[in-house]
Amino acid sequence: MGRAERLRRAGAGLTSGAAFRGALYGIAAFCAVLLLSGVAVLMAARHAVMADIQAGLAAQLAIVQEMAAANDPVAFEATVTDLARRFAAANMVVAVYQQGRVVAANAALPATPATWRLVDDVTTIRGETLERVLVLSGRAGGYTVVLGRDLAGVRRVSHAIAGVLAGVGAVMVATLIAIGWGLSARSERALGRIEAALDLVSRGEFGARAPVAAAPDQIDRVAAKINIHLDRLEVLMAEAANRAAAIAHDLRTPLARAMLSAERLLAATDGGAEETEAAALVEELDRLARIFDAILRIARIEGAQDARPAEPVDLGSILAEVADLYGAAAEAAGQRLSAEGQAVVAGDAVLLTQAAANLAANAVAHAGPGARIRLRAGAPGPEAGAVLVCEDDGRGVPAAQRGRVLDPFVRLDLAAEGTGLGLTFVRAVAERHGARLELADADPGLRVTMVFPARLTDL
Amino acid sequence: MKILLVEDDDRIATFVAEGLAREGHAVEQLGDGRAALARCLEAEPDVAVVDRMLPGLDGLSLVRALRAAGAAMPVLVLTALDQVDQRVEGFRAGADDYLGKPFHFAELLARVEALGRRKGGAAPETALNVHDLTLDLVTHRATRAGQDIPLHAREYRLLELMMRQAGRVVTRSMLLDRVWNINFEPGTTVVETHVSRLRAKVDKPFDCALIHTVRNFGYVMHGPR
Repeated sequence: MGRAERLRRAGAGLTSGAAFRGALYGIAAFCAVLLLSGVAVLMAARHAVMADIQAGLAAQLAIVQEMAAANDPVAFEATVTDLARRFAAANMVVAVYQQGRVVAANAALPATPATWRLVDDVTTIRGETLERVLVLSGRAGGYTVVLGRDLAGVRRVSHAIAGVLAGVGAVMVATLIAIGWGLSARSERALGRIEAALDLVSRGEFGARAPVAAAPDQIDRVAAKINIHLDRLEVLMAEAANRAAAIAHDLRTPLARAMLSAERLLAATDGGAEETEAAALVEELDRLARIFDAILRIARIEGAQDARPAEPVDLGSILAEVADLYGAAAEAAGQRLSAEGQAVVAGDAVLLTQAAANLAANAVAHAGPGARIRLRAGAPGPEAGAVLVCEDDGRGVPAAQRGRVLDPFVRLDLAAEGTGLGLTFVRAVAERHGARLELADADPGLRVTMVFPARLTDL
Repeated sequence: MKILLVEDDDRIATFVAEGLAREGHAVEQLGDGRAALARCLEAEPDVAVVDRMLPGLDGLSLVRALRAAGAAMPVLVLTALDQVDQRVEGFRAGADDYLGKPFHFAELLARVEALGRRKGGAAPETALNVHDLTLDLVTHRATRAGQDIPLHAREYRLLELMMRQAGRVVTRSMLLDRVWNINFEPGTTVVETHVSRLRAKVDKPFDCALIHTVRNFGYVMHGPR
């Protein structure tokens, strides 16, 4: 797995976390609320500013009307001309008309009946163009007075408010994402530790436990619960292993007595039916001892509590030895047996040798005459684990039976010698090494593959 | 041979002692580890057969004590616990051979006799002879009646082991153990087929057979009698 891939996986793990999803929902809700309240604030602010402007314009119109009533036309016209000049500096527009004649104006304002209206693109005497102007017209004596206020200020206020709201929103969203990411990463780490502990247990390290924080959260409570179950599992496994060892010892001694006794009986008989019977008895006891031994070996491997065996083992040399051991037997059965390839795995050489021997013995016993049996070790690629393969082009095993042949005491060929424990042992050895055992059709024949993990984390 | 048998299970001890006596060995039987240690050092048997679980002093401690006291007699450890690592532990303690229960008496006898044989022969041998077959231990060449017999490395080791025990039974499990270093039931007739290949080279071209099958469990090499 490459670095980019790992990061992608880690990222996917984080963004799939409940905490992160919660943060996303939070962000969506927050953005909706912010949008609605922003619109409301904007409208309220706009309304307030407009009301203020309208009140101002109305007051100014009232003053102009008073002036028109109180003064003679010459004085009034001088005053409004002065007003227009002063207003120009204060960004206010004014125009006074008398029957189509412009009395005073600081901008091109239309003479309209007494009303409020919005006028776009008003040119002032200072050469500016005001984008939008709120205009109030009214009669003052014989004059038509048009007063206007530039609305650029209102727009600026709206923009300022919108800008502040957007800024607050952006900061909040970033904070929520960070909180969600952080919480998700924390849960992810806690879950990762539980996962790692379960991985170790499944590899046979029954002492592994998920760490629990001093101040437990929900995940820690689950971890604690898992740990309780693992404790129980460990006790049960240890009991089973001890029981197996105790049974082994307690049965071996009487079995030894029986064997020696039967052999003495056999030695004392002198031909005839009695000797045949005594010989059969010895043979049965022998078979019993073999089955018993095979069961115990499997039980011991399955019940092993200690860490996975981790000595470097050269599968190639193991297979070469096994091929050497079984080569003559294969030849006697009209078969050819060969070993090839190289691969080093972490494991137990004795167990792997016996497993490989069982596979070879199985192939020699069941592949039939003329079969070609190939033992192969290899590492398909840097990302994949090493494999140990035993392949033949013999009779094979029907697909429906393939899963079953790994179970104890299952013998497909009842005529052949064997305890029905050979492949069960191989499976136990594979599991002890964290390896996967695969049975496949070699077309024709059977291919048994032990796939070792590339890395501990890839289990 | 003088054999000291240290086994606390009376019935097994009796069967084994009687069997060994029938084969012409002088057997002394003890059931306690501590008593056995003193007796071993005093009587210096040719071979000691020691059970692993004993009252007084366990079998492995007994072997360790013997070795610490400088006693070099071969020791065969019997055990009802035959796990592989315990086997290794047994050899580390100084045992010469290790046999799990249950066992065939013939297996025990073959192993005891092989151990008793090993003790003798102070001068290192350079060649082994059985009838007209010679195995040169220096050049690794086998010749019979003046004819060279080409052998593979494994065949050489098989033949060497059987010739060293000439006249005595070598069991299949002894061969598996010493030629292939294997301590499990191999499942098919692996030893038989290897021996039959060896026979095809060593016996078949000649007028009399030297490798003989012993009932169903081993082989013995000897010339015509």
